[in-house]
Amino acid sequence: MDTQWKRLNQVFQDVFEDDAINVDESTTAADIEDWDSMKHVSLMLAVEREFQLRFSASEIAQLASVGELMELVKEKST
Amino acid sequence: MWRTTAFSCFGLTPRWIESSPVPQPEFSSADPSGPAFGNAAEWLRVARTHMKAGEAELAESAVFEACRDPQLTPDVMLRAGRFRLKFSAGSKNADVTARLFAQCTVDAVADALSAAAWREQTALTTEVAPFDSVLPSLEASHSFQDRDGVGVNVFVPWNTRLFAQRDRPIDERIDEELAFWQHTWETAGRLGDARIIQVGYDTAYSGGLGTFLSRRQGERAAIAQLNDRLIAQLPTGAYFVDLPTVAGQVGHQQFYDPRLDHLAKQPFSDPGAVAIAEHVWAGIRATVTGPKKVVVTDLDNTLWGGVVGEVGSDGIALNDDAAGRPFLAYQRYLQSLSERGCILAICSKNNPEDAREPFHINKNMLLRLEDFAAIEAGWDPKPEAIERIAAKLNLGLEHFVFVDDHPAERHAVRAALPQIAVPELPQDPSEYVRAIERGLWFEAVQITGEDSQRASMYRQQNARGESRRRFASTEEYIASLNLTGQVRQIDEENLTRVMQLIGKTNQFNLTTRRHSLPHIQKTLADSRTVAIAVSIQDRYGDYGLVAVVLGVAHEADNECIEIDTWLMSCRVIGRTVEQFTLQSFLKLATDRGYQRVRGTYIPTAKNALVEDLYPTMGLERCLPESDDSATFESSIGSLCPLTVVTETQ
Repeated sequence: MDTQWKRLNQVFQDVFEDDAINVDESTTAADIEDWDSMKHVSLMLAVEREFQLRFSASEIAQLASVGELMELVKEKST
Repeated sequence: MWRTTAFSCFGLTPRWIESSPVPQPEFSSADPSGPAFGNAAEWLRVARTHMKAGEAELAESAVFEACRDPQLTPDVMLRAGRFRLKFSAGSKNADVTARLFAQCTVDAVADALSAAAWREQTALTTEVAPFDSVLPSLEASHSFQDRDGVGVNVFVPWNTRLFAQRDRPIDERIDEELAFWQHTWETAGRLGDARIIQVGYDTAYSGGLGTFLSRRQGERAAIAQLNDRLIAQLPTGAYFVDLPTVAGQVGHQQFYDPRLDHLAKQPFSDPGAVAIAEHVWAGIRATVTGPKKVVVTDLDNTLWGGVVGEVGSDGIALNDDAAGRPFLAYQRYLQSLSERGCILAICSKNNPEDAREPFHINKNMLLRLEDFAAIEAGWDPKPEAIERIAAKLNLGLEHFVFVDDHPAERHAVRAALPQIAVPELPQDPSEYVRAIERGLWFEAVQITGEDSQRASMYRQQNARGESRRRFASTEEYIASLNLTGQVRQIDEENLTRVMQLIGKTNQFNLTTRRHSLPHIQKTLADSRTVAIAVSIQDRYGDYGLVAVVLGVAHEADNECIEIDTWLMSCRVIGRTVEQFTLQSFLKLATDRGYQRVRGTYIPTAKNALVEDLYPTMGLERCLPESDDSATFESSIGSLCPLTVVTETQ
């Protein structure tokens, strides 16, 4: 598995405290029970910490799927 | 042996200490400062595993270890808090229920609050009211039930309204904010018994006027004035979190987060929210059991620089120079703690003579041996020595703070005695005082006259102990004490001390009801109430106010007085003060027309001492019996307790 996806999965597992979580490009908030707006913010902050990047408020607010998130991560990592 | 009741007592020894040990996460423990305590994230993974296996208690123990990590970062603390809240929802009785009513987003504060409480083995549940809906949510809330534990209302303002209406004079807007919170406090008081933690106002910006003029006449000036007035009007017994102080401690740039403000209307960063939660937790502790009561300090490289056994009493660093000043500062800090009522004790690995000599010889010592209520200097493991100190002072370990420069000693005490607070001292002694202050162990809502006398009270106690050894029998010893006592109504003068006793007395406490100030005031205002406070002295000194009895009219029988609360300070247990107290109470009750008395014993883990108190006094057990409580009754006339306490005015 691509290391970035592995790291992103670990972030999800830690934020939701659930080792069974497995995300891919199509995963959205509807797929994970606890994923409300406050969890979304915590999730983005945790992704920032893991990948050493920074999102803007609007970037955080507008993400619709984990696929888009991963694209943003890759974009900001280069 | 450990019987628990529906009303769970704040500050009891931990529930799980009796169960199986927690498996350690897999990494090497070569470092004595203990990676077993050094990795909160690992502990949370352990907790997840336990949770999956259905081992809820082991999971909670693992979360406790995570919360205790001295290197705990804000993000992991938030995770720990969320984990606890998620997996304990509705499972068992909470010790504390905190309701947060805020004008900004405080979910992160609530999460961190749960972790801060769990670190001190208190099960705290949170309820966060909808955004900016303080009064409607407060009015709609039901009163706290017994199974919710102690109730706490946390009020968190924000400056949106204050700064929004620019066309109105600032003084008017300030008055309005103040009136709003006063109305909120009154509403909270009317609705029930809960403690109040009020957070203050602040702003992340100076605004157009710039730093100086904002502070003199602009937004910062408005904030300062509003906070001053909130503090002045605060209901008695409430705790105030001064936001500008907390923000300054963290650092303004790290404390406020414009992005989170714009995204989620949370003006604080997550580390900022955690800092607020730490202060709110300290306030909850302050309003329920009070500040930590005992500091146990090490000597070598803690109270002075160097090892006295190696360099001698004049070789230790305590001069007014770069080497000595950090330790003088630490001694001065301990002095200030002692002046406000904190007890000092020594726990040192040293020959007993070596430990004491600097106090006699070194002219730079600020503290004296007699400033310490207990001294353990020897070669036993420190956890054992500290337990002996606790036994001597007759105080639970949950009231202790242990200060030691050596990581291995801290690790040993943390492992053996999880109830004790052990601040993580930095290597640089210049930073000792700040590290201890960061723990917020000594937050309180008032200082009483008795607090200032506490050090001398323990000196007197030590003198009594010496005298006790000289007598053949307990009766002779008690008679030799020449006990005298005064009985007073509970009034404004002694109310603070009474509330202190209600909050912290565990052993001689028949019902352990942690009444709030509003509840007590309401009870005292009822003309059928009989409420007394007893003060005791003996030939060695003054014990102060030591016993409280609160009696209310029985709901079904208005000639029967029901003892709602009877508690006594552990200082006077076993000296016939109990008989004197009951006799005085019953005399007053008879004057008010009561003919019968009823008392209840509610067992807890700590009050087995008074299980048979009522039968010993001559009251008869009422049926039916239950596991949760036992009730006793008698006609007042048929009771004639004995006493050797002489009543004086």
